[in-house]
Amino acid sequence: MNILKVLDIDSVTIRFGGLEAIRDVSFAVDEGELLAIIGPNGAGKTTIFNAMTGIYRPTQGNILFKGQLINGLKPNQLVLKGIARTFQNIRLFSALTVLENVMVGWQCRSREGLWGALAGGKRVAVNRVEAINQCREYIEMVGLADLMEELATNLPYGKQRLLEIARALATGCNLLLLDEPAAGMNALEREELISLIRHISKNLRKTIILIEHDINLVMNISERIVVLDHGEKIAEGTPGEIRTNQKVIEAYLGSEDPLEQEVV
Amino acid sequence: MEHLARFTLNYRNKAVSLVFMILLALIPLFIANDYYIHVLITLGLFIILSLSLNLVSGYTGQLSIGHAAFYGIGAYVTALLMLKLNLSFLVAIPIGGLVTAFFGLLLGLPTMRLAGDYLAIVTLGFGEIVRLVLLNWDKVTRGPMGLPGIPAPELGSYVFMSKIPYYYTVFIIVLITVATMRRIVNSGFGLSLIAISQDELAAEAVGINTLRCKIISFIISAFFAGIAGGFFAVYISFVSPDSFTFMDSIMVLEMVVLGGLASIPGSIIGAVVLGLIPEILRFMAEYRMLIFGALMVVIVIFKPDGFWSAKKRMRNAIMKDLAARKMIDTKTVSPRGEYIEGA
Repeated sequence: MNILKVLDIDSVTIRFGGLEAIRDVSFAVDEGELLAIIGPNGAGKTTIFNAMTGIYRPTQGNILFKGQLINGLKPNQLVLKGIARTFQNIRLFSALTVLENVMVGWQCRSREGLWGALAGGKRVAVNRVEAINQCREYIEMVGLADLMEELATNLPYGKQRLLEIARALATGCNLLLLDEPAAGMNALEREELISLIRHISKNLRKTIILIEHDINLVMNISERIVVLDHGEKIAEGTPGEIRTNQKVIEAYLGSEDPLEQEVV
Repeated sequence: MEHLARFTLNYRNKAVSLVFMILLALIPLFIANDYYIHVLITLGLFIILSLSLNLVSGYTGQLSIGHAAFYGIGAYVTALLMLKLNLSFLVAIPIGGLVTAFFGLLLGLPTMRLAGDYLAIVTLGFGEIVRLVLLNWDKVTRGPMGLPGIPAPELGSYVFMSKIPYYYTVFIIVLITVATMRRIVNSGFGLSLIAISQDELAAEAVGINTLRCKIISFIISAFFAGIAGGFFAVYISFVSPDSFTFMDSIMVLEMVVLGGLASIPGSIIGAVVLGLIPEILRFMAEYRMLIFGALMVVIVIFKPDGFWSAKKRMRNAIMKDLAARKMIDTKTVSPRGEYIEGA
């Protein structure tokens, strides 16, 4: 099989005034791969996510998506190209229902537009049926089918995170960026999240990049791990390699077996 | 059974609104008093204005305090077209609406970079600029003297003599406005607007062109305000800058806010209530506005979400509409995904 680099981060530096949040970081993601980015707080994980999704523009270096330079594109343009994300601090449309939140994600694929909405008619209705049915599939996939009519703001924390994943999938993305999807979840919810992420990766064949503090989860599901510390990449490799990497162990407070401690 | 109940409910709602509309249409037959008809026509104008502002400030969440400027542009353009070019009101009012929509585009552009208080200041400035232009562009607008003598509308050989044909005209415009707004807000585009008002960054991050949506919402809003202005010019047969001041913008904004942001019934109720209060208080002469202000404070305290809060919004309206047309089955397939291990 011809392996295509879906995302290529090429010596990216991001500076905010005098502060260098990301310094000369490079890594790439293959088609269908599940990559995790880990690192202590303030390592620059979310910053690099924001650069990949058009919220920040890299000060130096290039970001390529499917071989195409995407520096400086706006977030909504990147979604059209096939990059979708979730947020570390959940950002749902709180006054909209579960279904409507996912339908907003679907909008970028909708052919209806304003004129369709004004004209109405059979074809618009057929398109809407198709849209809603597909949105419901995503909602069922994340296990929120019985909450379709609930307002997003009324969902418990863990379910809000799942709804963000459904909304991101509804954009029809190829590359899914998950920013701490397990934060605030209990043990059972984490188990379910792991099988959901596996399902999205294996069955839907989406490329996934994941930021996560739960090392168990990361070691469990990711195929490759990139470790950031103080804005620099300090290691990259399989979970097994990362577990024994000296630099990584030092970054995590220098204790003997830091990765195990992180689990708590 | 549940389906049956839903369908009958749906038909009952339709029947209720049909009866209500027929009653409204028959009002002139029962009320011969010109003053009452005049108040009703004014309420119609307020409804169009508050519905149009609600699209921008309620649904899209962009605070605009210069709405009277659009009203004024529509009124002056319509008046000039009828006075100088002898156009029929049927042509002049829509052109007035389109010209106003263009100004909506102009005002929508700064929303690219501005939000919240800053946008409000820009819209306030826009409102003042329009008023000052109307006041000082003597050659075209005759300044403070205004434009009198706008001819009474004619339909073939029928000339609008009494207030009744005006009542029906504004009635039709209100119906068109309500129907258009309903279609817009109960669509994917409408969901995008609500999404923008809730969290603009998140909306952009799921692929919504927020700038485009905001500008379109300004354009539509301005169009309907312009239509209202055009009708006003034709109805009163006189326009002057005094009718389109900052206070008028605030009044419309109060209708939207007290009625309930992001709610169509709210805007209608807000326009009717705030439009009626000054009329009811007319007997108090100069104390009227004092009482009006006090009443506003009381309303805000007891109804902070407005008379018809957005919380009453029908959930999943798009799906329910399709279900009522039997195009979609609302039953859920399985409460949990099949793939989950052990489930």
